[in-house]
Amino acid sequence: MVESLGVALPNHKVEWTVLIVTYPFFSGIVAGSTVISLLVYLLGYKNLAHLERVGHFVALSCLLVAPLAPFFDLTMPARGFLVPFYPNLSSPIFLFFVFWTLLFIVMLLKSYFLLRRDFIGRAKEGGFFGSLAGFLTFGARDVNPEEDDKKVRFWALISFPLAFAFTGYVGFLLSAMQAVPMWGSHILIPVFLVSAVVSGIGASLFFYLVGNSFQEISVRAEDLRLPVVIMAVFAGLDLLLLFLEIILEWYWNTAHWPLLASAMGANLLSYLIAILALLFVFLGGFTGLGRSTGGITLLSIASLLGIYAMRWITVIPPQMVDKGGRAVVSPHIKLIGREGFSEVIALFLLGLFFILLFASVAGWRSTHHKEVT
Amino acid sequence: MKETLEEKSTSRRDFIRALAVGAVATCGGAVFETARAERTYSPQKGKNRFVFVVDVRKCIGCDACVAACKAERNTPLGVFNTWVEKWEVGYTDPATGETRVKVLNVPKLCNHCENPPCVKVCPVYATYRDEGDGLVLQRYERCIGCRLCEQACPYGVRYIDPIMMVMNKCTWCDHRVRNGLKPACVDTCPTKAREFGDLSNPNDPIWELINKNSVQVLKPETGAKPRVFYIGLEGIEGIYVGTGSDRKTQHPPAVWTDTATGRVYTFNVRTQHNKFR
Ligand code: SF4
Ligand code: SF4
Ligand code: SF4
Repeated sequence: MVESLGVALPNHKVEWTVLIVTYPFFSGIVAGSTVISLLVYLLGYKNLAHLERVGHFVALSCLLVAPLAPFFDLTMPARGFLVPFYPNLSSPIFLFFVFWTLLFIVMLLKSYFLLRRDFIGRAKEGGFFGSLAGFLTFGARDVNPEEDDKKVRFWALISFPLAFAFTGYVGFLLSAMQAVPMWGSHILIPVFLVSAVVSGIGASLFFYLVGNSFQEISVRAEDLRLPVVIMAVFAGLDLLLLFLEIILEWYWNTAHWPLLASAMGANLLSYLIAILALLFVFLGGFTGLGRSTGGITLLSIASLLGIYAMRWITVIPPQMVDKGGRAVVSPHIKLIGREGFSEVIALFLLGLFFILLFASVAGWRSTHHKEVT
Repeated sequence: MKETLEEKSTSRRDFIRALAVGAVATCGGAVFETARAERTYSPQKGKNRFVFVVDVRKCIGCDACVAACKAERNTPLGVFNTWVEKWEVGYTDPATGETRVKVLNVPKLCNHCENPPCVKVCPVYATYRDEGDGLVLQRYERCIGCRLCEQACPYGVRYIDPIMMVMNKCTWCDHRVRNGLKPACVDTCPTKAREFGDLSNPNDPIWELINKNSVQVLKPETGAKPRVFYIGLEGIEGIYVGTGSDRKTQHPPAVWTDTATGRVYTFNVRTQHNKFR
């Protein structure tokens, strides 16, 4: 990768790196998995209830882990608590607090009504997880699953727009930085929303299929047809938006284009991963791959890889263009240490831990869901 | 009963007296406050008083300002509040084939913008614009280090201070200018290419400088309303500084043809401090 092409301004540095790439990745998964909730609770696809439950665990875990990424990215993380005390309404970070808090409350309420029937049963089993489940019933002893389902439906419908506002805000945050080329583009918010659908469904499918295969529960691939097709369509749309974004920059031949092009060239691998993975998901979703559980697992892995690469190419190359308009500067990303890959790996492991914890306390599958399997 | 009435009238008198004393004290305080404010800040609240003028015709690129700033602000290695760029600008007239080349030393520093995008995005008001004198300053003890302001600044003047680990930048030497001194870089400049003044003072020599010369600002199309005025960029402001149009093509590539005049421009920039990190 180039060190510096031309002369950069003396303070220029690629400030936001892997942690800020990872943050929209997590927030996108939160939003995308609510699409499955919508299919179950609004459109009545009850055969997806098990998938929706896993998707809910994934979303809740990502919601808990997502704010840690920008938090670790602060040079003064201990002062992060100051944000609600000196709120600047015109700062995009303020919106983050609002959306995250609201979404977290809604997701907790949805979790409670979705899982308390299982907590009650689980509490009777005793042990560590049994006691935890007993505590999480908050005193409920006997619940009517039909009544609870109505409440889950209500909170699921509220979580959908909130989750998309939460992830759309990341696009808004970047688009507020008009001084950085490409970020000022209006295409950024749709890119974030569409990518969210792909990665949210992809992550839910991945954990659902892998989790079930670990527990030797058989899954019928045809039950997953609808989410796979939605994922494929949105992968195609994402690809289209990516091309549109690049073509618009090139076509209007903005002053930054030559520099942006060389920054893109320096990140060619990420572009290739994004394009090939999304193309694979798009085409695979409509072929035989999308009709077998093994194929769907592959597609879900490709969707996650593709969207992570999409986040990378949205965050990194534009920052490489120097504000003096003469240079491209490479990012310095450490393997271990502050803002390094090790922090990102730690976040992914933490997310995985939360998913396993939720599944252990509430149970991988609900015994109360009346659904076709 | 009588006692009660007397008590009441005493307390009423006391109340009126207290009210009068309070009113005088408040008005007096306000007067003193205004007087103090007038001495320290612009009486027109919200209007910039301080301005910075850079005459690039006079700058010889000696970097004395850079050294002075480093010393005055105790700026750590690898980061700069100010620097001097070398611009090489030329054009070829297709009619005559004549090529003209101009080399300029262009000092850069924080513009203390009137509409600063850096202030807009700061989540905790750690960067703020003093509405009294228009200085854009930092509350170091509050900055969380999110670098939103750095991303939002169109001029690349902000940096994370490697010692304090919070955001820092040129302050127009607020500790000096608010006490009647000039910024360190202005005081040090041997050719008076850097000037600093107070627009709220009609007798300030800065008025003459601004009135007698054509002044330009950098990147006007961003809407930040920068307050560092440049003298000597006329003629090339159409290339680099902008013509006021909001076209994205404002900043040209290295070779650029002005379709209106048919002139072919070439443009090159060099700075001297890009490799310290
Ligand atoms: S030059 Fe940059 S840092 Fe200075 S006030 Fe303007 S936007 Fe803010
Ligand atoms: S880095 Fe500091 S000054 Fe800049 S926006 Fe963040 S909190 Fe504000
Ligand atoms: S005004 Fe002060 S802080 Fe700014 S460049 Fe000059 S010496 Fe440095």
